[in-house]
Amino acid sequence: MEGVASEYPIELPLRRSEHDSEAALVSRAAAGDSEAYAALVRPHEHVAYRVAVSITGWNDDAQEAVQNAYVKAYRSLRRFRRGAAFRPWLLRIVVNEARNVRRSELRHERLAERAAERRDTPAAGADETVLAREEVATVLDALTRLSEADRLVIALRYFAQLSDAEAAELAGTSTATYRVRLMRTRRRLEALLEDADA
Amino acid sequence: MPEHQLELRLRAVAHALDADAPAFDPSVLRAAAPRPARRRLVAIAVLAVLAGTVAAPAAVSALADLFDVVPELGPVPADVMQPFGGRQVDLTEAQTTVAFRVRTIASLGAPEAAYVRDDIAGGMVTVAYRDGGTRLTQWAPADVKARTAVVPSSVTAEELTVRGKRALWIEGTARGTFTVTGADGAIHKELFDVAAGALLWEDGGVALLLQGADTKEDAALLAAAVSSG
Repeated sequence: MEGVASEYPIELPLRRSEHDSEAALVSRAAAGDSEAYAALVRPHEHVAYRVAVSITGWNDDAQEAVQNAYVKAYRSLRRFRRGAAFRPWLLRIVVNEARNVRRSELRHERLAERAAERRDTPAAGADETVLAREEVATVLDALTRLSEADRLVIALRYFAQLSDAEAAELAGTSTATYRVRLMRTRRRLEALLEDADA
Repeated sequence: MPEHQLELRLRAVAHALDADAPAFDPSVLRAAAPRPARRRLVAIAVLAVLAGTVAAPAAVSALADLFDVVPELGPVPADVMQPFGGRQVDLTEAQTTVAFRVRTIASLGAPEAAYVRDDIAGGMVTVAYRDGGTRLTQWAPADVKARTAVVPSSVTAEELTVRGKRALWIEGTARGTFTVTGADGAIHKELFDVAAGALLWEDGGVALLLQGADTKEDAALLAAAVSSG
């Protein structure tokens, strides 16, 4: 996987100095400094939303889940293990909140309708914008055909850019099992996309 | 499809989604300061403890649903009906509406009234005491899912023990939203007033919600006196 040319930036693990800075922000945020918490969370906004989308689908539920997760994480900061990486910890809360939103409202029954609405009403703009949204809808539709556990396996690798060890811990499995599952899920997703593209 | 092509497509989608990602708004934290771990606002930590103490996976799942207390970011709706009521029946008829044995509070004698919710598939029964001020609501979490959303700034949750089992005491000054999903998938959103405190626990596959106890200690005593016989 390494060395694949991409026009999209790849989020790298935090460098040591950044990690130290993150630890300082956690301490300040846990003491009630909301600005420190904002600085702590903002680098993870995009990733949090992507992972939520992988659970809830591409709709407002993902935004609700992320906002709920921010509040929950803030209130739980005192239980954050000193020295641990913040992103996996935050994403665990995001995943739980996304599951809560999806389960409690049974909104998954309306996801197909919403996805269709998204495709039918793309944002006004250039053709490439429409095409981009169609591509997003195609890929996400294929993702929704996987089980939630499989969607999470994909999202943690490609949406959240977690290491295999971090992703495995978050998915509740061993690193070796996660890798095997990722390989199998990738094949299933590839087949689904090939069908969708045909 | 080559592996790198899938990776590129997924990464492209990931970055396309970023345009919709909600920006973090610090104002949502104004009333949500971190609290000491002893009194927990949100039940996630309680869930973790519960998960470790209940052996059967099904029971863990049921408890997870039962204790699903989440923060409510928006205002609590005002036009929802008072929960946990329903059609008044006698206790014998109430028993016929649910698959589990209806629980009563032995120390308070026979219930003064019983209520059933005909609109919730899977069933929900409430028995009332003390001129209706103390109510024990019960449902089967395997069939009926409950989710409680409360305003974080004004509600606290504390872990108690009822007959050796963990329970959750919720107390505060604000109302929350109690969402019940019946076995047929129908969703019922109702008010959940925790001003007087509420105790949630699980007993033999039945979720129990006690409201209207005089104090937290009173709630624990009443809960300990709950019987299915």
